[in-house]
Amino acid sequence: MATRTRAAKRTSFWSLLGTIFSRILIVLLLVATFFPFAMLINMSLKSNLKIKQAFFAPPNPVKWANFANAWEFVKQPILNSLFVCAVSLVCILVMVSLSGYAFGRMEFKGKNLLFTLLLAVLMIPYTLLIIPNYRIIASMGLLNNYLALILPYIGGQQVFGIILARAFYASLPNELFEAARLDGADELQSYLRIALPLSAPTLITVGITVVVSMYNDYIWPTLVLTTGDKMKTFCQIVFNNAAGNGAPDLGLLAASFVLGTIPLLAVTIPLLRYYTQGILAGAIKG
Amino acid sequence: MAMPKRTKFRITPYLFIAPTFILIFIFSYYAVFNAIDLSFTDASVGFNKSFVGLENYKKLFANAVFWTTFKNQAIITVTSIFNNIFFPLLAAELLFFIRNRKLADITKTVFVIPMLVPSIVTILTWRYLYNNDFGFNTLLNSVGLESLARNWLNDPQVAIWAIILVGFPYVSGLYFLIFHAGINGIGTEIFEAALIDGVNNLQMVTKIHLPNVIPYINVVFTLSLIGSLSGFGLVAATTGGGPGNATMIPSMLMYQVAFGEGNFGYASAIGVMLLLIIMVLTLSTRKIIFPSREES
Repeated sequence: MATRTRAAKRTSFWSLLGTIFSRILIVLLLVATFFPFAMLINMSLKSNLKIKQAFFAPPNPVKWANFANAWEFVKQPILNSLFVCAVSLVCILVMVSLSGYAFGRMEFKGKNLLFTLLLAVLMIPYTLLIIPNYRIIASMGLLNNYLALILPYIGGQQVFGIILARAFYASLPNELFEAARLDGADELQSYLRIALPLSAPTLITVGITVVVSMYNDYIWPTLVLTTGDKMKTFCQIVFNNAAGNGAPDLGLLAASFVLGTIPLLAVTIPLLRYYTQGILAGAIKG
Repeated sequence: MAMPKRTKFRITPYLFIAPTFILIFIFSYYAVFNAIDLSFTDASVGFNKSFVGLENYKKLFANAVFWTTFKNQAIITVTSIFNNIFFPLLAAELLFFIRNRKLADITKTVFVIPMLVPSIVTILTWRYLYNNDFGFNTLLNSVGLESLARNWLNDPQVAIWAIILVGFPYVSGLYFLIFHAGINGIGTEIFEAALIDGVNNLQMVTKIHLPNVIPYINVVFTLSLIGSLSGFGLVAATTGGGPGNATMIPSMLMYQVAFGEGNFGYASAIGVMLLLIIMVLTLSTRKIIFPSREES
């Protein structure tokens, strides 16, 4: 009896120590993850001189003017990015759900072959496609046109979504569709009335994934949008300015970084719950 | 389920997938064949080109820089795969042991949020931290380690390691969620049985979690292998391959040859080599490192 309690005490001591250790570790991970962003926000509220003299010191005085000035500078690029993302997103979601439904719930000749062809797209390195796609876009006369971004984005971004949507539609119970068929619904109607509404959480997951990746892109816009700053996207402007060697106002730049991050956070955070669930479900099924 | 299959050819499924395949055929398949075709020509930014056979490949294999880029790429890829597996898995494991549901939910969200910050913003923030005049150097100077302070991204000895550490500790939101799904998908019965058997936390991780999480490690391994080999945004936004060619990787070299020098044919040859390497690596690593995957 005595030995048992001692053993229990020992394990509880070790498990307590383990718990404390794991809590400290998770806090450290979080602090390290957010440290650069904290520094960025700190920079965005300071003058150029203060950033160079006292990098880690908190902003004193707080220079809100950075944000007012930065807004003038990034307003148009942010709107451009949002426009491109919105148009591409709508097209991607339509195509993802149509193709996902076809592969998940319909039988047709060549289905497996076509799906393999789709999966193979994931193995093509993005880099390899830059030159031919540049030539394709140029030969279509679409350089310096937003379609130069939108068309390849739709083409490339949909694949991952289709895989996720297919798994979701395939998991729906058959009875749902049998009942509709007895009621005289044709294929298009059962897709529109039953499958599509149920797949909203999956489509939100796909939407967040593709918007983040399109909003993030700066290499491709740099190649195809070359005339003037008016058309450029937010990440492109940021990248182009970083590539040039001027003596920029760092506080102003940091403030514009923060401003450009806000739209993405504002759009996605309310939907983040669906995203985490969608990835979890997708990961288990996939 | 013995419903008679309709033998009639149905057009609807094909209409459903048509838009997807039209775009994929243009921007993926036609593009790949176009790139392979270009790699045997002297194509430049214009549309004129003539066939030069294996000339581009010969030039490529004779180019010392090309081989340097592979060494750099190997360092970047190996470390990035490690980082993409280790830190998200660690975070997911630590999250598992948070019993308080509310706290666990908040922690989960907080780990996903950095994913929503545009990567160029993260990269440039790190560039500031690596700056010669302030950032990490300020920190080193203030604790009396002036000798360690340096222009991180401009020093050929350390630049590549500085690039690798951008974003440290890389709790990638997506991979974190995948591992989280893996651990929680094991099933509560197993956990309960383990608890009754008096399994401690460490044994829980090594004996129960890890064996069950291997398929998810496999997925993340493949995704980050492809991601690391196909992207060059990080290098382009930090060093551009410099100083000299100290941080040059094949995809960055390809980008420079194509859009800096305007040599599309030679650049395409680099791209085709990358495609071959990715295909060989993804197909073979799946067989060698994760043979169990074959069963599923």
